[in-house]
Amino acid sequence: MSTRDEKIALLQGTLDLLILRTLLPGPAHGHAIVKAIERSSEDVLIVEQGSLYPALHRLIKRGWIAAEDGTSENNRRAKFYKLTAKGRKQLAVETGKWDRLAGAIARILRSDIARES
Amino acid sequence: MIGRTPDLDDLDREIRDHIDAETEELMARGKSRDDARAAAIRKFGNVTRVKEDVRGVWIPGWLDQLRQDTRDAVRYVRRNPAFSFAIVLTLALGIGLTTAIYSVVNAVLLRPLTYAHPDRVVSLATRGKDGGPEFINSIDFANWRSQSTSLAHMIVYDQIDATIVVGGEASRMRIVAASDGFWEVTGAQPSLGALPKAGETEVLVLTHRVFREQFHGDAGIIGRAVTVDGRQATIGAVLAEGFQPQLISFSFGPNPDRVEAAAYRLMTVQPPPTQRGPGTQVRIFQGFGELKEGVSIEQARAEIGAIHDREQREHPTPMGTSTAVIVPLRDKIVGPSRLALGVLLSASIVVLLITCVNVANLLLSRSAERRKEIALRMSVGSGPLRVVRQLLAESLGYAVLGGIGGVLLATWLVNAVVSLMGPAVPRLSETTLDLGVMAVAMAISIGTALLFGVGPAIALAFTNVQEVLKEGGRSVSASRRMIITGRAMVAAQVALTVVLLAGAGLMFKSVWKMTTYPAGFTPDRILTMHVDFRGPQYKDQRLRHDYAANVLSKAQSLPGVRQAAITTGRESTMLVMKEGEPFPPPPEQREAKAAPVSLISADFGPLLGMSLVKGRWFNEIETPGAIVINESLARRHFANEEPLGGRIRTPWLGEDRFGTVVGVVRDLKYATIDADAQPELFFHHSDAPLFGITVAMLIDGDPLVVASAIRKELSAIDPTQSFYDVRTMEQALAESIAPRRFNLLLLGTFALVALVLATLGVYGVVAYAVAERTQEIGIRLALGAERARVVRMMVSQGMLSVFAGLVAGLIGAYAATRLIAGLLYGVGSHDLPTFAIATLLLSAIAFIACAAPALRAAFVDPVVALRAE
Repeated sequence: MSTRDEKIALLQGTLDLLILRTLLPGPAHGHAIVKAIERSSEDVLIVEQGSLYPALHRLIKRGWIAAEDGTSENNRRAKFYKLTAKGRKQLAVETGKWDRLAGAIARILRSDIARES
Repeated sequence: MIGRTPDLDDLDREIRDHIDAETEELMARGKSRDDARAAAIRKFGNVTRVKEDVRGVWIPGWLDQLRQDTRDAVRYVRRNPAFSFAIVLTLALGIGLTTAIYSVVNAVLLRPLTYAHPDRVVSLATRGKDGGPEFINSIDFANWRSQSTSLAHMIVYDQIDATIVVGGEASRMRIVAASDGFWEVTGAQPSLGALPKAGETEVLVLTHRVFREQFHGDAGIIGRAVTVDGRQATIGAVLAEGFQPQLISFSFGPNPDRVEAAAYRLMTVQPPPTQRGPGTQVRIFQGFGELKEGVSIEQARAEIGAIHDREQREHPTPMGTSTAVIVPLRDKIVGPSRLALGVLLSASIVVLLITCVNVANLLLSRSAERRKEIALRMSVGSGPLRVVRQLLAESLGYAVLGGIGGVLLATWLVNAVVSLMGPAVPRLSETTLDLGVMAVAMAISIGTALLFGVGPAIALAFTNVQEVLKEGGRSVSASRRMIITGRAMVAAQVALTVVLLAGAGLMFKSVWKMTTYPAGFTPDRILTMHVDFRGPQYKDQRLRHDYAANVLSKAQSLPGVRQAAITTGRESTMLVMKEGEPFPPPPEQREAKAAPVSLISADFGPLLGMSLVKGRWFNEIETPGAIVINESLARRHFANEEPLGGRIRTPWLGEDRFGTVVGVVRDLKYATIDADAQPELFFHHSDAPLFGITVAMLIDGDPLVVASAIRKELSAIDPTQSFYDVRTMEQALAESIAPRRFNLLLLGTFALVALVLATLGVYGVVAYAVAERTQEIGIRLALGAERARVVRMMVSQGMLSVFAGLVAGLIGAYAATRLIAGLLYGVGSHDLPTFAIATLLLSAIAFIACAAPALRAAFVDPVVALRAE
């Protein structure tokens, strides 16, 4: 696993946020969601692919996404997940929270580095 | 779809597709198919866990936790099979035994009779001054019934085994003939037909069982003509299902009753003749009555006692005086079993106690061992609640398994006891599993399991986890406390076990003493069968004697019969009055003068193996008035005189006529074996009226093989007469002590169970103590201590608590066995050898239980021991 060092494991709870964000453009099936996350993070974030599914079900349970049957690009029957209105709203809330958290953490880290140098 | 569980079936397909898609993608990047597939699976992660997690999203939290806890508990149980087995076995034994025994006691002692007014039913009987069997004769009964006002009904009954012929088909049935009022007092209800009224003595009433089994439930049977021992009768009614009033058995006959009544009929009891003398016909019955409402048993006792005493003063009979005995019927029926069942009930409570101690002990030592595991779990984030829940799940698992085992064991035991001992103990066959007690026994033992299974975890939840981890799971103070508690429990178990072992040992010795026969007495080779003189053709005593003589000579001539004899059994009692002694004797002397009488033929004594001390046996044809007495009687009545030629007043020879002693024989216990030989007399069978005879035959080979052939031959003499109670004398003797065997069986089982439990307890505690000190043992061994020394140290510490328990137990046994003195025979309640054997047995087993873990510890590699956590 030579890539281990360069990649960052997902923080607890962030996977939900990323799924919501990935589904914003339109419905996708499981594998496509994982790929989209990996691709759009430029392969920095690694998702243990299996952990996607409990997360999807968690979101379905909360009513933020819904599942429907469809046909995949290679003409196979597949389950597609799409954002619900409630999920769309939640994405906005979560994104705002995340920005505040990331900003706060960044400020703390910077100040530390500043003191040390 | 929000919040509802979606169909999870397509999850498998979804995951498969996912992995396929990933594989294709990796192949597109140039990997080989195999590599790509392996990588895809790796990237996906643990498929099983993913599926579980997805399911976990939808299953409510508590359900999921329960599942988790159960899985953990099952895993723990499977990893520790020996421990789990020990605890489940302990629970099952405790619950099963206690329930079964209580069910038996309940059926026999506690449940009311099935009469109309069970609390008002009293038995009516008289007791001779010499003790002996209690019954009521037709004269006393008629007097009481005509003069008493305190009873609403008074009933006497007789039971006979009659030959019933229905439509040309003969069968043998036990029939109870009872006087008027029987239906009212027993609360009998017909399910078919109408119960006969007073005076309708030729109407037969069938029990429902016989109606169903023998007459196939054919309602057309009502009104059918039958013959009962040759007399005409009709079937008038069928009783309601389950009608089976508890009747006192006629246990004073040659054999106690074991047969359930098949039919009932009414009979009339003639009023007493005005003139009574040696020729008066007297019949013997068992009797009971129902007190009038508001009349106490004391009032009835006083009234009937007065009537009885007055009648005896005004009309003395040759049968001697007697006292009226009026007791609650239930006491009379279960009286003899009361002590034994009380003892058994106490024993089962002791077993339940031992069970609880054992469960507590096992769980406590286990929890001490698991302190570290639990502390570790808590330190990595398992909340205390989570830990307690898991232990609760484990304890519940044990409880459920133990409970199931207990129910199975109790069911099995009740069935076994009833089928083995049903006839021996009154009302035992009514036993059903007592669910209430089962619930209580389960609650107690399962409560113990939960308390001691979860309690330590709760205590631990509030202690400092870090501390425990630092000690390496071994808190010195806590484990010392553990060991001391464990030792105290072991001592308690050992003490209780000693008591049970001593009791069982005494019972065992009693039965052993009873079944050890004197040389020459071979009851296993003696075949006996009984015949009465049934039917009007045998009203004449002469014909009875002729028939008896025919039976005897036929029996003697049969092949395979080495010797044959007839006897009446000790059916009657007489006053032994020597010539010159004033007659009648003063009342206070009657008891000392009475002795049982048997009428026998010449070979009866030699056949039994009785040896002659002096004089001679009877001849085949004997002059009237020849008497053979046993040594006890010779001692009692001819202390300093020569018994041979002694003359004894013999009422049936005529007024003021005397028989002459022609022989003295050694005492022999041949009729019952749980009482010492008593003074007794023998007359020749031609001397006195016969009411029934037992044929005894010494057989070459196994008597039971030839029994039915012999019975057939003897029945051929007069086909209207039927021989019954065909068995060896050994069987008869065994039946006479069946209640004792029953007690022995149960008490023995208890003792065995207690021994097993105590062994488990000792082993558990010593093994735990050894495990705690494995490291210390390693150090000692590494520093050069001898293994023998280490073993000795561990064993002696274990045995210390065992000995403490033994001492306490012996003291307890000394006190407790006094209570069962009444159940013993031929052995004192403080029999030293029995106590010694019980002590040695328990010590030996405890020693093995101590030595096994100690030896194992001493032979481990010191290096391994030192590393032991």
